[in-house]
Amino acid sequence: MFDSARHRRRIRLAGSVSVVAVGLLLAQLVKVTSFASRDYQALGKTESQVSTVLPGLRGAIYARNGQLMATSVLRDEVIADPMLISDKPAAAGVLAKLLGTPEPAVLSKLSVAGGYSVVAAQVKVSLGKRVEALAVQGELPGINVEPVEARKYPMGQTAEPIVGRVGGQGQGAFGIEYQYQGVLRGRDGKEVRNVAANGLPLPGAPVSYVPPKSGSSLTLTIDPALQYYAEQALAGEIQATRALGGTAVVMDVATGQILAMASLMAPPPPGAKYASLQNQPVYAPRSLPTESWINQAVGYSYEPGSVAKIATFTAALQDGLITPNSTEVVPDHLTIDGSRFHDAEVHPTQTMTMQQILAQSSNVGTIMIARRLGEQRLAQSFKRFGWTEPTGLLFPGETYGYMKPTSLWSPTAIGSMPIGQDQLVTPLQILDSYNAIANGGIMAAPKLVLGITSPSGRFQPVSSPANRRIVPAKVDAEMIKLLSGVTGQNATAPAASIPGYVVAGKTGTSQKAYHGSSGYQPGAFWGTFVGMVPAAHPVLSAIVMLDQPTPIYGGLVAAPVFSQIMRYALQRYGVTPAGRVLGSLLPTTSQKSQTGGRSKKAAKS
Amino acid sequence: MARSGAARSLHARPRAGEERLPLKVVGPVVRARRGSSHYRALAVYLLVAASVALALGGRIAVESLDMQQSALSQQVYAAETAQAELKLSVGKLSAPQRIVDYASTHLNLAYPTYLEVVPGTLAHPVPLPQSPPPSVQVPLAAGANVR
Repeated sequence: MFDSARHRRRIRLAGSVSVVAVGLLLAQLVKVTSFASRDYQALGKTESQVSTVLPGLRGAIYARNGQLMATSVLRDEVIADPMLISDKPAAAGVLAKLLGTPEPAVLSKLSVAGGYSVVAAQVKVSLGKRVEALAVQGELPGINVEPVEARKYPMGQTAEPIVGRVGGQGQGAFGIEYQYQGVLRGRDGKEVRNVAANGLPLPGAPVSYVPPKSGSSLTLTIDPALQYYAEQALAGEIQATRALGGTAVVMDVATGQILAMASLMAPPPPGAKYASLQNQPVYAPRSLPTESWINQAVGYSYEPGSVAKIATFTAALQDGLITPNSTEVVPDHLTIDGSRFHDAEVHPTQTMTMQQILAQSSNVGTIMIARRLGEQRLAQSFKRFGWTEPTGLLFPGETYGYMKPTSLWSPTAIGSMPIGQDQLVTPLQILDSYNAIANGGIMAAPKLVLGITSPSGRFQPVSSPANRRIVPAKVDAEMIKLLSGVTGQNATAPAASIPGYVVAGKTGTSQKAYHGSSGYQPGAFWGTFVGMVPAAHPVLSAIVMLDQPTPIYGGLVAAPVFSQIMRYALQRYGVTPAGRVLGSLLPTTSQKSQTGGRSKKAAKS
Repeated sequence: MARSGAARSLHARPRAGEERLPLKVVGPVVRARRGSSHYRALAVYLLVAASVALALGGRIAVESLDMQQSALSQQVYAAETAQAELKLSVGKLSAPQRIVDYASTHLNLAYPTYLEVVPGTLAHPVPLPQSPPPSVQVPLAAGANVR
């Protein structure tokens, strides 16, 4: 009786426990099948589907003639998961044969710790497909192939400081690649495919497909042939003069379009020892000129020297203080507030015409004119030429120079400013100024990018600051006449002359200041020549600047490079000595008239 | 069911307590209506079967088109890739630097990374007029390894 009651209690207890357990199981079942179904479905999908990122290719960069300067192509990356590879030597043997790389190198990449190793980066897609096919067939377990974007520069190092380069993550690092990152970059797509339990893709259409979008393309104003030629000419002169570097920029006068912008450097090799004689560097080994890290035409600001005399002369002509035929009695030197200003060569007090003062680059004569002009009008003249102002190019790393406000000018500033000392300016700002003189007194903002082409093929020109008149046409014509004397036989830059053409321009030789301390480096100078051709009707303007050349004078080192580059450019574009353009590589006539360029009507407006 | 019920009522002997249902005369219209229900069922069956077949056929057609589209997309992709490679090759071949590339890859010509270009000595410190460019004057890549 007792046993029977106990037995029944046990049965009831076991039954109750069973009911509770089954109830819990049922509740879990309901939860799994109904309430948590989405999570489990998502989990299930991730195990049966694989997604691949499809790189959206970066837009291309073209030269003005349509030549490719930068482009992106698809490549494959062969990736290994060493933890899934059991027979590494065998896999290394197969991969080495396919990829054409030594087997030990592949084996070392397959033997790294962890689950990720890049076996080969940026292999051609056809090769990647072959590797992928073997992986799909199960012959290369643990090997995966992923599409990646590769940036290619068909022109090699030519114009590298302008075009720039992209970093490891496909971001523009410098140059145009950096400046137009938002325009050039593409948008990645995504493809989701079903895969079998062993990870092999199942045949059929993808589950979802988001197409990648390519970036827009850019068309630059650069002419590759002239760019290459300018780099060659500049490199040769840098070697010949042992300069630390240099820059050369060629511009289309009417439009401000930059046709070539070379920037090279030739630093001393590491550990190079110098010898000097009377504070002059004598034995200074240099490495071969290489493409500069910095676009020196816009990234370097320096004391320009005598090329700055343009501001004094235009202001004085404009205000009627001088005429092209007026003369000045020029002494050997001037003393201003205890500082002695003199010319490059000792000379007796002599009467000089304005053309002689400019052609022989007389510092004393120029300072005398500037003193009559006064600080304010001189400063305004520099400002009209855009010194210390943005050029409108907005190139990455572009500097705008520096000039003290007149309230902070020292007593000697009226002596140093007119001759291009005590101020900082970039080579492009100088070229802009002279290009405005060449353009009938109208300043056209420099341009490096002609326009943007969307992936659909729509071309959108890039806007730039409007042209503005900075010098009256009459004064401009007088300035060109004065500047034409600089390349004469008894002037500072006969080496800039071009047979059959009249070249107008100006030399500049300026001392290099110490970095981080006051004073100038002995024996270290900048040599500059900036000019336009043909002087009667300028079509092209250019500047050449050499950093620490030997000899030091711009007329000796920079002027010959100007002449060399311009001879090539004049022939290439079919420019006659009268300024007619017979070729078709320069901007069209309609563009010129729009920008107020070469037509007399525009120049007089 | 109604028909089998009617047959039973006709042929089965009535049980005790059961009342024989009275016979009804079925008119030709009703009989025709009852007969058409066979066709209706058949029609429904055919409709369902046709719907299923249509759905299956449509699905197969869609899948087939998907497969074709996928194949065409792959062909387009391959063509675009090939075109990009060709454009790159054309760009390289038309670049001024192609001569340098040819010289370095096919003729085994390499640039020195370092050159002493100083013609002067301590005794005769660097005369250097505008001299003709040296034979080697091609700029190297930015940051080229110099020694």
